[in-house]
Amino acid sequence: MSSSHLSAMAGVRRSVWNSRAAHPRVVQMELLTHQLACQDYSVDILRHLIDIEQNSRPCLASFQAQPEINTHMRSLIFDFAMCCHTRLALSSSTLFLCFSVIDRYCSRIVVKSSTYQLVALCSLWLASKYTDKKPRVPSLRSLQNLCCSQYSRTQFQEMELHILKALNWTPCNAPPHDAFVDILLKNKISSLSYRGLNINDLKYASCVLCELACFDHVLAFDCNASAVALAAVTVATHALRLSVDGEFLHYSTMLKDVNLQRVCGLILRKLRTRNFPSSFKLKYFGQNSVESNPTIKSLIEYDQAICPPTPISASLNSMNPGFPGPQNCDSSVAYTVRPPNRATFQTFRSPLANVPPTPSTPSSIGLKNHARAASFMETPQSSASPNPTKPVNPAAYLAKSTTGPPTTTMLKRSDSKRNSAYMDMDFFDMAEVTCKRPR
Amino acid sequence: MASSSQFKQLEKLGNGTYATVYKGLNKTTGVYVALKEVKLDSEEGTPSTAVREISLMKELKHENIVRLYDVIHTENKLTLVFEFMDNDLKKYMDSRIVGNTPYGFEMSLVKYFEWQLLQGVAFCHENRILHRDLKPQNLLINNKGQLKLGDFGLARAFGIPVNTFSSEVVTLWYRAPDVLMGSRTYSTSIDIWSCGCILAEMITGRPLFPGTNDEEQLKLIFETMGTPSERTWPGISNLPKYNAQHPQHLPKDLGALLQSQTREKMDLALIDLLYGLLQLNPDRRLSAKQALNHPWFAEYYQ
Repeated sequence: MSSSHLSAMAGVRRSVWNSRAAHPRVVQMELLTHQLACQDYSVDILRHLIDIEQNSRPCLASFQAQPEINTHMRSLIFDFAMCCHTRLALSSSTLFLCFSVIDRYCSRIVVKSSTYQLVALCSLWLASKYTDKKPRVPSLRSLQNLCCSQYSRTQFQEMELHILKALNWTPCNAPPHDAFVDILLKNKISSLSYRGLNINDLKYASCVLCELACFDHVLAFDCNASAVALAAVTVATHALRLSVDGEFLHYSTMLKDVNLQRVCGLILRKLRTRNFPSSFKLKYFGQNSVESNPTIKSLIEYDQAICPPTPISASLNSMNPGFPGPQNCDSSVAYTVRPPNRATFQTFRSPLANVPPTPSTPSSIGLKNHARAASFMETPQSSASPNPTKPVNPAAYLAKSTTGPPTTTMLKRSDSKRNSAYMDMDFFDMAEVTCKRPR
Repeated sequence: MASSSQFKQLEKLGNGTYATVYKGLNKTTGVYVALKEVKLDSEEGTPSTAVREISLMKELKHENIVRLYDVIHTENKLTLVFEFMDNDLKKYMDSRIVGNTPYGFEMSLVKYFEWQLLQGVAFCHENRILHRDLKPQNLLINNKGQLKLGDFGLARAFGIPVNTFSSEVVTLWYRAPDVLMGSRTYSTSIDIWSCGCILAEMITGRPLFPGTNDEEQLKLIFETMGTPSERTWPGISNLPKYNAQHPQHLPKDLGALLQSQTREKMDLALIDLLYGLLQLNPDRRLSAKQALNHPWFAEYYQ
């Protein structure tokens, strides 16, 4: 398409935006109309979403059987995906959908560490194609830029198709968390518990908690999106109630459901560690401290009211072994979107990290860290490999960059590329791990 | 998994929104299928229309929605294997034109088709999916008189508060007035407007509002249904393309208008249903579920 054509189209889009901006009530009217239309179907839609949610759950056992990737890398990859999502300004459902696609793909297919990032980008691509308006969907070129052209166009296309096939052509049929948040807020809007609270703040706070929950592998694999959304709405309501009226209520006083209490507890614990992924900083507080975001501040204050911050941080950190802590500069994954602000790490540094992660130190931290990560991932899983008849090519292990600062990693990666590009259809048929999820 | 060698490609059936459709024969089972070929783009990868259509149709299993059996990937294209349908409603209506005069269907057939159409639409909406392109060409029928919704190339899932969608939605003649006036958050009510237009078209054999552009489309709608005002449609003056200078038309008697174009007897219940589906104000339009409970369909649920 010629550039004049493109600019003409951009012009049309601008004029549409302008005409919408000139009619601020239109959006409100449209929303109202739509909500009325939805009321007829809200029960059916909720039932349907819960149905498809049951069929679209990832499997922790298969993920843990992955020979090359682990929960630590998972949080780095999720962080990367969220950075890309923020940069591309995609809709909030896209992010949740993307996370779900990554986890479900990794529950069915053996993923090499060097391909994990490609899986993430292609999941984001597919989720965006499904959810976002067409002009918003990232082009192949911009996806390539996000990973410093580490993967070729063909690799992107092949991976996209591979994800589609591996997930039986329905990668996007998982209901995103925010769909449940919307339904919960909508259905309870008249309920007393929301009186005096701004529904937009509630939605924002709930989505922050849901996003945070996605980074936690226990919450992501063990809990339904609907359960996480319900817990997030519950916690968000109490937190905003506390900051608006100064009225404190422990979430468990109103909850009979023990499982829901547990999910609320897990979400708050995740918040308490203060190990916010760097993508969170990019999205929610930039250069400033976490308290600069009033909603997150309310959430933290609520958590502190639940669990006063005395000498707990050390024990809390040990409670959360899956989470990497502040050493986000790990080199096992080539990081192309740099954490926006290294300095803020120091603010939330856990007492375990005695080396401040300044730009001069990551190599040693990376080394140390990596040694730990490598032993962690190789010992228990090799026997429980999802595909014992087809051991992973040892060359792939060799090719995988295991040491060194990020810069050398990037160089090494280019020669490991051929390996990771190799898409083995046998994996698709044989590596399916069946496992019944505990309900 | 199915492979492409399993199917014998027969004649071309038509062009969809983003693909070519062929008739095919399953060589193992001897069953006819419709093969929809989607080219994979070197820039875009799998087209988003295909991602959506496949995802949505795999989810929608209903007797009034065309079944997607399988997807086959070969080289640089995807082939979607659909249930084969003998005809579409447009071709079927065209086949009934005698000389230059179109003829509508017998009233019992109109009712049966509209019933099935609304069943399919209700199922989509219950599954939080908007079709957004309902028109006779996309309603497929077979020799048993079954009607099924096809071509979900423009469909999408909606959330409770939806984003705004692209404006190229719903072929002009079946496009709701709120969409024509620039409303861009399409709700389930846009599919209902289309159902109303299609119902009228099945009665008379001709399109209800055959406009050639947005302006004319609105003019045709207002001439028949009356020009809406702030009183009949609160908030209408805020729609981006609302024009206060629209000539003021009084609503015509839709029943008499359609009755003059058909020999079949139209009863009052049918006219009431038509008004319910063709409400200008989207808030007042029936939902598919409500329409299915309309007295005109009483014989089906007694």
